[in-house]
Amino acid sequence: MSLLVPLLLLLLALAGAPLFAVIGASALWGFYQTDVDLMIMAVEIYRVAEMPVLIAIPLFTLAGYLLGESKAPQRLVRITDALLGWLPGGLAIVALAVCALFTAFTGASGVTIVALGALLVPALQKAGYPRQFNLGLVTSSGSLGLLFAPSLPLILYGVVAQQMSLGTPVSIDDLFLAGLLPGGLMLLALALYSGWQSRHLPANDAPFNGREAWAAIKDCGWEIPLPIIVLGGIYGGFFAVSEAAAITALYVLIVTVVIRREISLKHLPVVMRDSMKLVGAILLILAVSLASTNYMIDAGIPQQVFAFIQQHISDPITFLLLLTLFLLVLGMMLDIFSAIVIMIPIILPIAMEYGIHPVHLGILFLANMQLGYFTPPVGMNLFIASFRFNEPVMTLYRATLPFFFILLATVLVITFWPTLSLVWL
Amino acid sequence: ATTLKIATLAPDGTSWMKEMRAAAKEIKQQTEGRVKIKYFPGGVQGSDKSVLRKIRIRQLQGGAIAAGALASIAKETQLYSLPFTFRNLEEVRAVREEFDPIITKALEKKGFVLLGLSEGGFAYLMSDQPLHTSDDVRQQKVWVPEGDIISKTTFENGDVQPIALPVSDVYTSLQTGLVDTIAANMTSAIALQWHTKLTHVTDFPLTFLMGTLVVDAKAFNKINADDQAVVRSVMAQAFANMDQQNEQNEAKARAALAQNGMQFVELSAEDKQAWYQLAKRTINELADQAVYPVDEYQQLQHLLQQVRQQTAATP
Amino acid sequence: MSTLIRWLHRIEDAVLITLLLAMVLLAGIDIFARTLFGGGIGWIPPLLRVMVLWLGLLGALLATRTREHIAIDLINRLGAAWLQRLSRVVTSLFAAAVCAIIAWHSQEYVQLAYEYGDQAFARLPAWPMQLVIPFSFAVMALRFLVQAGQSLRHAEETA
Ligand code: NA
Ligand code: NA
Repeated sequence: MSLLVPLLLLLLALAGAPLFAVIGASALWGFYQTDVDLMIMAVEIYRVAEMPVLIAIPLFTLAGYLLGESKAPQRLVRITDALLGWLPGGLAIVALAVCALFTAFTGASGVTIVALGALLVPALQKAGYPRQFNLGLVTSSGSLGLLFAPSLPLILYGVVAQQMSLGTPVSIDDLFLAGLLPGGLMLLALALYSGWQSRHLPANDAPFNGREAWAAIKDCGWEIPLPIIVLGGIYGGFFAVSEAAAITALYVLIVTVVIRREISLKHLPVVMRDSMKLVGAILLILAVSLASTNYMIDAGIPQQVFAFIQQHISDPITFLLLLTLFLLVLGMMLDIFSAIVIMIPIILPIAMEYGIHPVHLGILFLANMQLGYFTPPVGMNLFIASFRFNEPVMTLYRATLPFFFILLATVLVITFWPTLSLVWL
Repeated sequence: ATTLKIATLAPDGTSWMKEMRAAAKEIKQQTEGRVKIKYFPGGVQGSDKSVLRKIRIRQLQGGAIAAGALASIAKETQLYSLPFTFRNLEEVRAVREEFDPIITKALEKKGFVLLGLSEGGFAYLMSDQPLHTSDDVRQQKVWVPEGDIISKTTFENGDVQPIALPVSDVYTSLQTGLVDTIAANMTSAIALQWHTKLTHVTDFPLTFLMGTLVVDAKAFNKINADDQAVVRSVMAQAFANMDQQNEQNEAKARAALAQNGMQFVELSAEDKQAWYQLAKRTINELADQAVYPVDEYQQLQHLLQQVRQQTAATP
Repeated sequence: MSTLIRWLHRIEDAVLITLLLAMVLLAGIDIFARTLFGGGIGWIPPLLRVMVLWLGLLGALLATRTREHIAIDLINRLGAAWLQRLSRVVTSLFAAAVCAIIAWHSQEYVQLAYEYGDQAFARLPAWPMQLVIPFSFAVMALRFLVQAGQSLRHAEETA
């Protein structure tokens, strides 16, 4: 009996039931079993209105959607090309940098592949890169940048970790700092691979062009302040996360609609509505998971799981290895937001028992999830890319494989070298 | 057996939580396991408001929460919280015997058993500038805890527009310069690292902070009378210990702040008088808004006058 | 009937968009007030937080309308057609039931909050802000139920 309900819920989840309903049902079932009045659901859901940092989620999402619908991606490609295009493997590095920056702002919702893929794949093709490589690059870069501010998964991890009573505080600013080097490492590894791949290509016929660079910078005049405001503001300690989000949303709204007029007043409501669908999906999952987390804390489930695991695993190294394996599978099956709200309340207290810093756990967790986005056979970005580029999924499996192993290596480095994440704290 | 589930924002591992856990162990022993207490520290059950909501629906049986959070339930809980009411800890202790029971009774009427009131020390103005008068404060960006109507009205009476933020946002806001002035006790200023962003303490107690331990009366009354008495007396003893402990911690924190180079700003008699005038206006205004029980507060003031005359008479 | 539903959808969209615009503007005004005049506007931050709850739940309502909730799509990607249809009916019914249970207990809670005068911020009562919880979950339950019916009818037609 005690296993029947969880199994049934797992089956429903695999059958495609909305995950919020599965999480909600598990919380309802848990509370019902322990005689807690089910009104608790409303109390927990209402706690969404008590967390100041959540204001950042709708505001950053809106900004990301507006940017995605404007011509900012084209301008972003132009300016990065003008500045980095002369490097060996330059165009591929451009693609990587652009994807990372864009994902940080749009929260790895597949928007990167859809908005940038159409620009980058033909451009790479023209430069002579093999199609296989181009597809692999864009698909695996669709989640690159998750570790950079102001990515929504980093914020959500901070929110969930703050719900747990930890001896070590987890601030979102700390997470933003901690993601810098690991994210940079992933970027660097892929850039080196791209440079190596482009060794057979005809010599770069587009050396650095000062005039084009200046023109591209002027063209980007309205976008350039954005990363400065957001990254400079947050990393420099001038803004809290929610303030940076408010400024970004207002600024992007004014620039795209009033100044550049790339989003018409008629189209604006559609973009706003679409962005709120994603926000709704994330916040609903977060709301019900507050209840399921509460049930787990009430019932002492992390302690039970830990007691079980401790019988079999004594050292942190084995624990981290198994965790990596588990997270790869999880990241392939679950979207990043659900994975955070479901797994962190269980994993975090256990990881801390093994002496893992909560900020480091956040970074390695998200790094694994980033890999999960294109882990065959069911990583979400594989399907998005298959749909976007009109290629069979099998082709994408093959195309992403080298990228997968390179990033897997970086994930292992990030996992077993905590200093990389914690050096700034 | 009855299990009382009690939540608090206080982090686990603090001396306060250790005392609470020791009390729970003592209660379990003395009642031979009939009464158990399970704590949820570190805010895992949410804000004080959220904890009160969970007590209403009986997921939790109690909470250790700030007196301010009980304002909307019983205004008597605000008796000790009005600005510049007390000049030192001795004055607080001189009135507690008479006025603690008033708070207890008021909460009882609303269905809560008050198992303990704990002294949280005085809140002092802390800033990156020396602040003497309310004119000085007017130049600053002042933080008040969100929903704290008493602090808000106090500053507004000095023509200061304070910035209301939840406690969790204060550190970042000090860092970013969104606020540069706070009112806090010495222990929290150090524990929450606020002191690293501040340079001056105005050495004049602003308000007195109180913590409470409240338990749902319906849950408590299910315990038999003898065990109830055990719970009450063990908790009373624990809270007495905590008050001693807290006094020492405040003194230690004060010394640590001084050692860290924090400047303590002395006020002239004139400046103090100006603050008392401001407090008077605030207290009158809060009376109109029915934030605290006016008659009882006047009695408390009266008692304080007597205490002060006695101390003045005995050198 | 379908005209009525179209209009309801339009109202729903309009409320959501207005709320989002208001949120962007209020958040911006608050920051400007704080940087330019020192003090912030006391009621804006807590109102913004309540708006996050409203936006989230109304956004979730919208995601239900267009079946865009986060889910593991294993069967829909790999399963046979009949299995896909069956799982669609079953999972919609399941989601409807969960939403209905949450909606029911939430309305009980809102009544309780009304009775004991729970306060949200600025001494405003909390219950009007909490009302969005039973409302949104009830409508989601209804939508999932309708979708289960549609999937069932669709399955019969194609069988
Ligand atoms: Na918390
Ligand atoms: Na999930």
